[in-house]
Amino acid sequence: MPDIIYPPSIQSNHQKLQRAQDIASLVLGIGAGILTLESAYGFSFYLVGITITNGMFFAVCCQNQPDKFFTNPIRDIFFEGIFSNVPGFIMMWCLVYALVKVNS
Amino acid sequence: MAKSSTLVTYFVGLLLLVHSGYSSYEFHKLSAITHQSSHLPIDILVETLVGIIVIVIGGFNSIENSSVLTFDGREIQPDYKYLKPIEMKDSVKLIERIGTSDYEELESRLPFIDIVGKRKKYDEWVKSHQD
Amino acid sequence: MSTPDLLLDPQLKYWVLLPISFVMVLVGLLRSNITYLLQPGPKLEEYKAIREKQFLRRAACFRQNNGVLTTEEFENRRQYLIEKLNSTEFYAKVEDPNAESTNPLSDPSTNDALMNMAKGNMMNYIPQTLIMAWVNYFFAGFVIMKLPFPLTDGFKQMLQTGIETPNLNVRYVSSISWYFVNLFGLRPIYSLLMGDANAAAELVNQQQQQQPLPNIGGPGGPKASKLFQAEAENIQILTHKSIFDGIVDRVLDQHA
Repeated sequence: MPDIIYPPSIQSNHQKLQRAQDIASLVLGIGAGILTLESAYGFSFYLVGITITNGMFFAVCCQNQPDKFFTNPIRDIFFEGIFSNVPGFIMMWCLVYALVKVNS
Repeated sequence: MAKSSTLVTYFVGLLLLVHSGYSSYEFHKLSAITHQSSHLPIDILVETLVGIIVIVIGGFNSIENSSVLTFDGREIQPDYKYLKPIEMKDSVKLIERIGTSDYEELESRLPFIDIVGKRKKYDEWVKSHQD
Repeated sequence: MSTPDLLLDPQLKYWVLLPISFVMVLVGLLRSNITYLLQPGPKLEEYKAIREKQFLRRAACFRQNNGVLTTEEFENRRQYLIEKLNSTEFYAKVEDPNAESTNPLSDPSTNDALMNMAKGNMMNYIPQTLIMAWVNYFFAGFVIMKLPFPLTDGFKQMLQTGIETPNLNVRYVSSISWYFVNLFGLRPIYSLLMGDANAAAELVNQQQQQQPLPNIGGPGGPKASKLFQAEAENIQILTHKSIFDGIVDRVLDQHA
């Protein structure tokens, strides 16, 4: 018999993951701007950073029992949020890059 | 909602980022004047990375479950620190410890309350306290 | 660096980039509050219409959860439901089968729904159009920033509007592109400011979302009689397997 799922918990977990990723993507954007990374370096910085954040979320928040909190933990945590958070990263990246780089 | 520890972490992280950002700004201004294209100093890099990590930790700190107050006035901690278990059998445990349930509406049957009986009980209680 | 950089006045950043972001954040928050205020409260419906919906839901619930009933209970309920679903007892209004289909636009309930949709769309498009016009009018005709990543020449038309320099690198863009970057990138900012991820997501991609209207006999919805008949057929072909079948053996097995 399949386990009965409690929808409000799923929603709340997803919102928390989303919040962590929001903060991470904005801050990574700021960081990429400060370091004045360009093109591919910036995007790989984002990919590495967000994956480390997701890994931290996986290790710290899920307490090694990801099945308890997500229906499909690997996909939900590591792959779903990567592309939806790119615009926020790009915005902060462009802003801080423009502010920091004085001669461009 | 926002805990003071979270706010302190955000503040420290933002301070680090602002400082490293300003350093980077000055560095680029300088290199524009001297026309030397050198790489960014390593301490700015380290400061930025530390700032990022501090803020992300603050973000994790902000999504912790808050403790809940039960109906009989005790404060209890949820079983898990950050997330809520999605299985029905686990997640209703906390609600039951608070002293209610999601189906309270069906169980208490408000329209079937014996209002006359309650009134009578209340009157007796008032009378017993007047003496 | 192979090509020399274009020198841009730093004042441009303080008086163009930051104001545009600031205004967009504030307008977004204002818009979310106004949308909240304009949301229509729950309307009183005629009791027959509600009864129709609830009866249909009851049938659906029975269909989904029939496992918890014993065979006898199941048969009783099935007979009752099929009988009622095939009669007109629970219809909100019995329609004359010969009647011409009326014009949906003359129906007052349809007008209400259309009005709400129009209001939602207006709240969505007017502020965006206004901000875009504002950006285009006040900040047109100069390069404000250099993007940190290269783009293909296809973006030149869009991102360098108002700059008549055909050979300029696409990385130098005008203010309208900063508007676009903001348009897509502000969702995390909204969600952090409002503390509500759903409202923020709605702000950014309202265009794609069309809320599903649960309506029977509403504008464009299927007729009640059709739904009732479909449900009756579904119930007719239901195979029943009770969870009580062999429960004693299973419990004994589990605790053996």
